[in-house]
Amino acid sequence: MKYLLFISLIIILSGCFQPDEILPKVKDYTTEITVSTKGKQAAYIDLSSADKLANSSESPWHLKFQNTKGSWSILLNTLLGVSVHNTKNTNYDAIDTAYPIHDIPWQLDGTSGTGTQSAIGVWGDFEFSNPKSYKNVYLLSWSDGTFLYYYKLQILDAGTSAFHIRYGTLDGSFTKSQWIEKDPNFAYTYYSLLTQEIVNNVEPDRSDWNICFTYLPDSIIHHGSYPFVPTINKQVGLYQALLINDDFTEIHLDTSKTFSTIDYFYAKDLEYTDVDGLINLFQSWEENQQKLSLKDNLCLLVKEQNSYYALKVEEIRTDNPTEVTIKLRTKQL
Amino acid sequence: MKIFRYIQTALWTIIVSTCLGQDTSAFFVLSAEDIRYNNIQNLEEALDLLPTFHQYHLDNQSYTTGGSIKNEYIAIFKNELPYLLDQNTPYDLRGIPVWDLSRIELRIAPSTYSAKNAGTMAIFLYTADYQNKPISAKASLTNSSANDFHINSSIELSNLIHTARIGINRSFSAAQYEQLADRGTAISAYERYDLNASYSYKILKSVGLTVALDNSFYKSVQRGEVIDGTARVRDVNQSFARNRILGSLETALSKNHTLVISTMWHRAKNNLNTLDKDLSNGSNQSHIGVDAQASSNFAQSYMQLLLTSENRKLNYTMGLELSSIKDNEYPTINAIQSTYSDYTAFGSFSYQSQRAFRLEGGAKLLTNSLANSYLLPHAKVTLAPKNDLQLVASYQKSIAYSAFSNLFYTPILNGGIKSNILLKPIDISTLSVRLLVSKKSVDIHSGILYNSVRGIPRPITNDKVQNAGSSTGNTTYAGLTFKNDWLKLRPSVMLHGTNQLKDTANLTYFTPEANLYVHIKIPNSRLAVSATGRYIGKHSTLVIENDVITIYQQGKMRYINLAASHTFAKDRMNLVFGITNANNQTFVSNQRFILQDIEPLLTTETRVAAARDRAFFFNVSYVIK
Repeated sequence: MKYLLFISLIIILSGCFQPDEILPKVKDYTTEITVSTKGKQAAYIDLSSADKLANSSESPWHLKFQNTKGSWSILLNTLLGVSVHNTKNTNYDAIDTAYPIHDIPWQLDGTSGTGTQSAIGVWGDFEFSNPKSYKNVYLLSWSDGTFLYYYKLQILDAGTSAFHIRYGTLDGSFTKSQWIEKDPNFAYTYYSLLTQEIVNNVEPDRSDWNICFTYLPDSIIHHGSYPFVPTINKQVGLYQALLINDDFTEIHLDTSKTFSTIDYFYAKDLEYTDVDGLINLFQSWEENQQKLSLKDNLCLLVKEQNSYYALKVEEIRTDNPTEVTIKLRTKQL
Repeated sequence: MKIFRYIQTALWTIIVSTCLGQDTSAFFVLSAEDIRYNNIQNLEEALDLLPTFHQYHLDNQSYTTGGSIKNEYIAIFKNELPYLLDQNTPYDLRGIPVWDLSRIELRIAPSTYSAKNAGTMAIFLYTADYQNKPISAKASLTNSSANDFHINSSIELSNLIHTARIGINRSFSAAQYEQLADRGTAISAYERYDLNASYSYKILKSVGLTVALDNSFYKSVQRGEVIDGTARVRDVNQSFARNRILGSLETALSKNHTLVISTMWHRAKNNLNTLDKDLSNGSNQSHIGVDAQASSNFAQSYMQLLLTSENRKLNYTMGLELSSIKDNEYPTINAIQSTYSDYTAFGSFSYQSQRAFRLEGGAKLLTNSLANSYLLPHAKVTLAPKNDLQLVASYQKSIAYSAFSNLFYTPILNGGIKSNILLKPIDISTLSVRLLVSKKSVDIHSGILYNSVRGIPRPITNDKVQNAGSSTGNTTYAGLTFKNDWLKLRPSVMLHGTNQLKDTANLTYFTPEANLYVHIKIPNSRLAVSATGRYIGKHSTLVIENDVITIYQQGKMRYINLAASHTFAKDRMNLVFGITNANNQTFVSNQRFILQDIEPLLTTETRVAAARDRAFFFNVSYVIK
C-alpha cells in the first residue's frame, strides 16, 4: 500500500505541462516633446527605446537630399525660411546681382498626402540610373534674423548614388562645387550652405525612429482660421505636423476604442497605411470658441513589423505660436 | 509439440530475414538494454545515441543528419515495413515510441527490396518477439529529475495458435529552455499516448496471419520568448496523431518457396496551432499568417507481395510493392490532386560458390504516377562468405521523392517558392566496401561508404523548384563488438565527408565521430553498469540562401550517459538508476558563414541545443512470465 501511494504521488506530481505564467501588465510611458520653428525643429520618436526619444541635433541646414535608392528629391528647410526660384536659365554665370530678386515669385516646399512636395521639383531626367540634370539655375533665399541671404544653385549631375551641385553667391565672390553621397542609413542627407558641409545627426538612423513631430508648410486656405506660423509666402503657413517613417512604420487612426482598452488582439486585425505628413492631427479648431481643442477620442496605432504601439496625445501646450509642447502617452501592445 | 513449434518459428525467422534478400548484418544494434540504460523514450532520442547521426535543436525544431547523407534519404522500417511515408512529411520523430522495441538496427548499404531512400543507410525497428506463454505481462515506469515521466504496460495472451498482445504507454518529457528567464523553449515539452496491439493466428503449420495496430497521439507546446516591452508571447501547440494498421499473411508454397502478402494503411496528422497570448490577462488568439507553422496530414496505402526461394546455392526473391500517398491537408491545389502512387517490381538472386564467394544482384523497376519509370540495379559480392574474414563490396541505386511542398504547394503555402509537379525523383547511388571479421567474441566492421545524390530540388529560375542540386558524401568507419559473459564493449570511430553543394560550391567538409558503449555485469551479483559516450566534431551544413552560399557550423558535441541496474524477485523486477548528459553539455555554438572568394565570413553566432540538461533518472520494470 505504501509503495502504491508512493507511485501514485509520483504520477500525480510528475509529467504535466506547466501552466502559463502570469506577467504584470505592461506600463505605459508618458513623454514630453517640444518642437520649435526656431530651435529644435523636429522630435524623432523611437517607440522601441526606453525613453522613446531618438537622438537628433538642432544644427541648422538649408537643403536636404533624399537617400532612398532611385529617389532624387531635394528639399528646403522651410522652418528656416529657405525659399527657391527657378530661373530656367542654364548658364550659371549669367545669373548675378542684376537678376530681379525682388520681383520674382519665391516657392516653399509644400505638403501632400504622401509627404513633402519639393519646390525645386523635377530637376532632371530620372529615367537614367544616374539622372541627367536640366542644369537650371535656382535662386535660394533665407534669413537668419539678422541677414538676408541670396544664393544661386545649379544641380550639375548625379552619380548612381550621389548628387553633384554647384552653388555660390550672386556676385560670384564665392562658388563651390560639391558631391553629396547618398547614405543608405538615413532618409536624407542634410547640407548647410553657410558652413559648406554636410550636417550630421539632424535625424536619427532610419531604423531608429518611427514618427516625428515637426512643423510643415501648407496652404493657409486649406486650414481656414487654424493658427499658423507665417512664412515669406503669404499663402503658406507652418503647422504642427506628424511625419511617419514609411520604411518601417505604418499607422492606423482609431476613434472607436479608448486608449486603455486597446490591446494587441484588437490592433493586429486593423488596416494600416503609410500616409505621411499629417497636419494638425491631434487638435481641432473650435470656430465658435476660437480655440484649439484636443481630439480626446483619437488614438494613433503604430505598426513596426510585428510590433504594435498605441499612442495618445494627452496635452498640447502652445504658449508661443512658434513652439509647441506635446505630452504623449505610449504603450506597446 | 512445443519444441516443434519453436523450431518452426526459428526457421521462419531465418527464411524471412535471410532468404528475402534482407541484409541482417547491422553496423550497430541499439538493444532494449541500451534503450533502458540511456533513458531513450522516442526515436529522436535514439538517433542522438546512434552512431553516424548528428542532431541539434533550434527553436523547437530538430535537425538530424545521417553522417554523410541527409536524414530524409534514410528509410526507417518497423518490422520490415516502411514507417515514414517516403520521408516526405515533416514527421516528428518524437512521435515514434521505442518502449515496445526489442532493438533498433542501423544498417550501412543495406540490401532491401524497397526502392526508396534505403540505398545508403536504413534504420530497422523491431518489436519484441512473442513470448508464446499463456499469459505474460510487463510494466515499466521511469521518472527523472527533469520532471519527465514515462509509464507503460503490455500484456500478451497465447494458446500457441492465437496470440494477442496489447500495450499502452504514456510519456511526458519536460521542456529544454534556452534561457529560463526568457521563457522560450529550444526543445518543447511533449506528452504522448501510445496504443499498440497485435494478433497472430497460425492458421496452418505453414500459414500464418498477423494483424497489428500502431497508434500514437502526441501533444507538445512550443513556448515562445516574451516579446520585449510587452507581456505577449507566441506559442505553438502541436498535436500529432499517427495510426498504422497492418496485416500480413505468410504461407509456404513448397518446401523451398514462401509467399508473404503484407498490407498497411498509415496516417500521420500533424496539427500546428500558432497562438498569440497575452500573459497579463490570459487572453489568446490563433495566429493565421504566412509566418505561422503549417499543419500537415498525410495518408498512405501500401501493399507488398513477396516470393522467396531458398536453396543451397541459388536463392532468389521477387515481388511487387504498391504504395500511394495522399495529402489530406491540401487534397487539391489549383485543381490538381496532391497525391502520387508508385508500383515497384523487384527481383534479386544470390549465388554462393562453396567458400569462395557469394554473388548477389538484381533490379527494381519503379513506376511513379507523376514521373517516369526507373530501373534501379543493385549488386553485391562477398568474398569468403563462410570465413572469419570477409570482404563485401556493393553498389546500388535508389531514389527519394521530393517533398509535397516542392511538388504541389503554391508559393503562399511554400515560403514564396513555386512548386514544380514535373520534378523527377532524387537519384541516390551508393558504393560500399567493407571488411568483416567475426571471431568467437569479437566482431569488427570496417569500411568506406560513398554516396552520390543528384537531382536535389532547389528553387532557381523565378524561384521555381528544379532538379538542380547534387551532393556527395563518404563515411570511413570502423566498429568493434567485444562480448563475453560479463563485458560487452562497442567502440567505433567514423569520419564523415560531405560535399552538399557539389554543383556550386564544390567544397567538402569533414566531421569526425567516436562512440563507446560499455555494459558490465558484475560477476556473482545481479548488478550491471553501463556507460555510453559520444564525441562528434564540428558539423557543417551548406545551403544556398538568396543566391548566397551559406555555411552553418555547429560546435563539438560530447555526451556521456551512465547507469547501474539491479534485478530483484528472481529477475522479474529490474531497477535502473542513471544519469543522462553527465557532462551537462546542453548548448553548442551555431556559426553562420557566408562563402566569399578568400575565406568564409562569419556573420552570426548563436547557440543550439545539442542535448537536454543533465538529469538523474530511475526506471523500474516488472515482468510476469
